[in-house]
Amino acid sequence: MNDTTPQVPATPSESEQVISQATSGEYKYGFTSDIDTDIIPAGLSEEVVRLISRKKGEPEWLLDFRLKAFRYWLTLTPPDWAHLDIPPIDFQSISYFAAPKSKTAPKSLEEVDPALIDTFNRLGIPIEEQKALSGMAVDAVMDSVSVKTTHKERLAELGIIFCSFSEAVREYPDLVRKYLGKVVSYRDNFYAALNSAVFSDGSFVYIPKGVRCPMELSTYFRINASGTGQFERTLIVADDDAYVSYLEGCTAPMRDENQLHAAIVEIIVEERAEVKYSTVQNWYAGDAQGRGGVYNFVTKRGLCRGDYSKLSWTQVETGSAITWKYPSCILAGEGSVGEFYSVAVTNNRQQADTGTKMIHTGSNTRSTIVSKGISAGCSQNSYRGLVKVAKDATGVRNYTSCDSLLLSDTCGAHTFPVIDVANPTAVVEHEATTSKISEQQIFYCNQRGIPTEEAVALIVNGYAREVMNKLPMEFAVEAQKLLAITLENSVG
Amino acid sequence: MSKYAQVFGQYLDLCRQVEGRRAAAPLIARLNKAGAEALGRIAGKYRPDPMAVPQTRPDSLFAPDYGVNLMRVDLPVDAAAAFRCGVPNLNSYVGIVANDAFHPTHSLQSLPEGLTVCSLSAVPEHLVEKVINILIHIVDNSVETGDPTEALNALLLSDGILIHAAAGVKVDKAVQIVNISNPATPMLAPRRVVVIAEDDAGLKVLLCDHSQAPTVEHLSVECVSVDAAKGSSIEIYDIEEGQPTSRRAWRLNARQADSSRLSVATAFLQGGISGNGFHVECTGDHTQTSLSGLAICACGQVVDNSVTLVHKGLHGTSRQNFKSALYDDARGGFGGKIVVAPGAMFTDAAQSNKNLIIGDDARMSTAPQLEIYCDEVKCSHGATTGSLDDRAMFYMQSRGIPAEEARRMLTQSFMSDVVDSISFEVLRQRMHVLVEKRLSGAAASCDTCATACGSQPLNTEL
Repeated sequence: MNDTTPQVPATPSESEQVISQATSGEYKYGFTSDIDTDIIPAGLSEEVVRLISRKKGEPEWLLDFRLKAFRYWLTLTPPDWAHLDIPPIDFQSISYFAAPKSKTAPKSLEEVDPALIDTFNRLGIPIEEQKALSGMAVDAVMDSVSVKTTHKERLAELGIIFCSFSEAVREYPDLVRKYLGKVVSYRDNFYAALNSAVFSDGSFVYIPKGVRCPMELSTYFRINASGTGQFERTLIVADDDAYVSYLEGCTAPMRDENQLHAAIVEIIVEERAEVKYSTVQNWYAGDAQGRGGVYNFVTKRGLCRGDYSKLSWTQVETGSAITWKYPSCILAGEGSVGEFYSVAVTNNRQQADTGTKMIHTGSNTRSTIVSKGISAGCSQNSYRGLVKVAKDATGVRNYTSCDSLLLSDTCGAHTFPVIDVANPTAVVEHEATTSKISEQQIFYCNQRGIPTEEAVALIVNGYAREVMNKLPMEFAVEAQKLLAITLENSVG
Repeated sequence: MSKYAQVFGQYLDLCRQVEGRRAAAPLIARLNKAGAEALGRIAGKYRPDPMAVPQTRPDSLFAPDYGVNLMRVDLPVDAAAAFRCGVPNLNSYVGIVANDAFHPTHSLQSLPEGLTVCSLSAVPEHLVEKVINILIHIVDNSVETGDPTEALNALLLSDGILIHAAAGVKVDKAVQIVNISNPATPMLAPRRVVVIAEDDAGLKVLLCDHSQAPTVEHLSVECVSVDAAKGSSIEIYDIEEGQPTSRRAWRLNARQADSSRLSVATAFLQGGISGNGFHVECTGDHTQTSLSGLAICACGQVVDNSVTLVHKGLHGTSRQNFKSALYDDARGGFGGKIVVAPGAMFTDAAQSNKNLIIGDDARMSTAPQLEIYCDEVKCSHGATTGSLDDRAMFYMQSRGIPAEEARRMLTQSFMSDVVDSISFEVLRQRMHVLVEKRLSGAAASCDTCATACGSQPLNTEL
């Protein structure tokens, strides 16, 4: 062996075997609920857009909004700048609407389809239990139509509106019309235009002035019917001095063909208001060979319009075959604050291109970005971010840290940040590191009596802790569970 | 035809018009042909890099209708009168490129054995194939990256320089190439320097860009092609002191073999719009690479440095350090990418980009990137953009140092580590002086620049 040959052992070390074991877990939540759904034929045309609108009994202005978006979408091509290998998607082979057939809103849990209740039970998050134990209000979105909303009465007393998007369109059309598309325009990007044209349902939250939402608001998204895309739309408005913590979690059943998920989340934060938005995303990621899995192409953006407002994004991304997602903040109000904490785990043949945009247009605005990427198997994990400081925004401060952890020699970890500063008073910092779990770290744990398997868990846990700590308590447990599933046997 | 295809197509058309009438050496003729083919392929699919500062993108730089001296019309330049050169105490082998034509000086008459410095039209027979292979490889590669600059340079090139060190030859004295732009009408000057160090050879190259045309817009398309063989060591220093009318598309393409060392340092002190690209491929094991750059920009000057460093071998080490200070309405850009290819184990790569925004209307865009396909690596990058530390300013002012002086001292200290990384001592000392003078507002003129015009006349006659 000459001196240029790498000093690599011929057989995989114990830690490598453990990592390989840990990263080869099968997806546990891959099941299909047998619930009667109402699906319109595949294909997308102006007629389909009109049909969706008609089925949902929407007002004329919303149909116009959809049609404008659809016509604009026709002029666009899918974005190809991400570090992703996306197979061509036939948008005409997708069914754009699937709603559970029983349309009458259930008055109690007994009226809800037992199979649906069972689905949530199998996910480990039964609505009843959550309602009783955690005091969370759950708006469960299943294949696009909101089925069950809890704690509504208690929230209503405070003037808080938390309902499905369709209901909001019916009950509070003025509010929806005032805010819809104000942060994410239908002209924003290809998938935003598609969603604006065909969105089926989602959640609407309005926190009135001075109200602090007493509980975590939670929505559980789940793709169920085969060959249907999920195009939900979330709109959150926190009026002056309001506070809300919103949780969004996703799991999807196992499918052989890829499913498209193109959502939009819009958040408006007024003066001194605060919104905390947490996501645990665990859509089906495909099998170990990369067959199947969800395409998660999401546009999430918040506008901190009021002075001293705050928006905090926390996400734990463990699922999806392909993730294309950049939760962003436009910091327009004086002294407003944006935060982004992310753990993205990719395994097998998953691809993730995720990150954030912090657009500072207001003076004395601050933003923090902490991104942790964990890549295993043959996956590709990219952080992509933008920090932009406008010319008139004085005293801006940003700190960005993105770290990548590599768990195999066949995966990829990439970092693509862009920093654009046009004001001399801004201070913007970015740092990134990429490394693997070293033999020394494992050895250190081993010699203190910690088995290699636990040592890997310990290290990965510690690595992600900075972000996990930002999750609300109720959610952190589930997030850890999902992290454990993705990197099975090593974490949790 | 897209607008980009039109921009680059104008040069293809121009060359077609004079086809068969260009008097070029066989090596250059082959390069012209390869350039035409590559450009034809790039022009159709060209898409501007969204990360780059718009003014420095090839489609912006090449859009104006510049004149190109394809027919080698004699443009008289009194080199002896115009260029007097030499960093004090620097003893170097000097060659001058006036616009796009190479003029050797007397110092090139007595080169040590094993060192060749010559025009690309007069490459020794035994080196022709090697040089053409290196250049064609670079031009072909540019089709993949989609950057038309290398192909355009190859297409339009009429003259260039070869600096070659034979195996085992270590040359302590620097080879200095002084590029002078002095056109009477808007002109595009293609320039190319090929630097080859054979096994265990050592070379130092100093490139100085000057302009004496303050009223005429001119574009220099400069390509530096580097081939570092096993165990060799190459140091390249590039200093730009142009005019507000200067436009520069500068590309460095380097390939490193086992245990080779490459060090490149660039400095922008004066000029107009400058787009610099570095593409380094470390194909061998145990390579060492150091890339650094400093830019002091004011009054609408634009500088963009774009780096792609690809680690393909084992145990590769690389360091990047780029800094800029932007005054007035200057615009800066940095795009740095470290790529660690599959199997490039034990790579240790670090990248740092720090920027000071001092002018109210200045703007800086930074995109430090990592692409890692291998797990046994240590990679990091850091980027900061900000203003001078208020506390440091206050500390100095409270001790009686005027604000302007304090600002200059802090900026100079900010820049000092890039200058200190220059291992070429005479140049390092000179650079400290130049940076200081530049920051204190003295225009970098011929008597303050690295080439120190006025200190000693140069005899360009052989």
